[in-house]
Amino acid sequence: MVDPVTGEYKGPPRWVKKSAITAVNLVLLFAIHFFSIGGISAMHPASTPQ
Amino acid sequence: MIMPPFLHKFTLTLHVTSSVGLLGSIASFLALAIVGLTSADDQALRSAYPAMQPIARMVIVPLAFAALLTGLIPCLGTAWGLFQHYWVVVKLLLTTFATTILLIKMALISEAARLATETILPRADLHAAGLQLAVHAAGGLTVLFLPMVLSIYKPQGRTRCGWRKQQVKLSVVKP
Repeated sequence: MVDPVTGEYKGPPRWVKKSAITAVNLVLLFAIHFFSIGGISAMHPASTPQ
Repeated sequence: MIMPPFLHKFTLTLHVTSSVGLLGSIASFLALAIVGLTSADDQALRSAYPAMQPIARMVIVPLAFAALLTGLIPCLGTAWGLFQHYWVVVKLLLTTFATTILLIKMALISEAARLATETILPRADLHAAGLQLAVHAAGGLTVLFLPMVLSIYKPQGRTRCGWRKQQVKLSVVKP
């Protein structure tokens, strides 16, 4: 994003910031869900008790 | 380096074809995963999971790499650049992320295909694998839909690198 008055660079535009925040939230949500069910070893069929 | 228009259109055609083909092949993969997950019929399970392996290996993986590579060529050969616009950077990151997850999950796809061929069908294991595959296929479909939206809308916003290059160009143009 460029300042319309000074012409200086003012960092990423709003859609990039919002997308980054959404992506971080999704990763955190996935991490919470992931650890709450016992991690990847519990999900992998190879480690499931026969 | 600016690409000649015919070459740009050719690589763009390849990129659009591989990207849309990738979405279609993941949709078919997801359909098989849902069949594997919901069907009570042993024969359906024994057919669905082994069919997912060649689809992933021979269609999805090559198309994912094709989409990634054919996406890089027009970026490097045109004024868009690879790191000059945020939408291009985000698109590259999403496609790279999806391809990495796909490669990581290839082992699970093979495992599910192997389990489906066992004499006594391990239903619990297949269900766990099928659930993961369905979730990842649905996630992949969503993640790869976003680059397509970005390519069509091309939202504004230059990166710092792109802004600097634009300033250099403007200073060259100005007397």
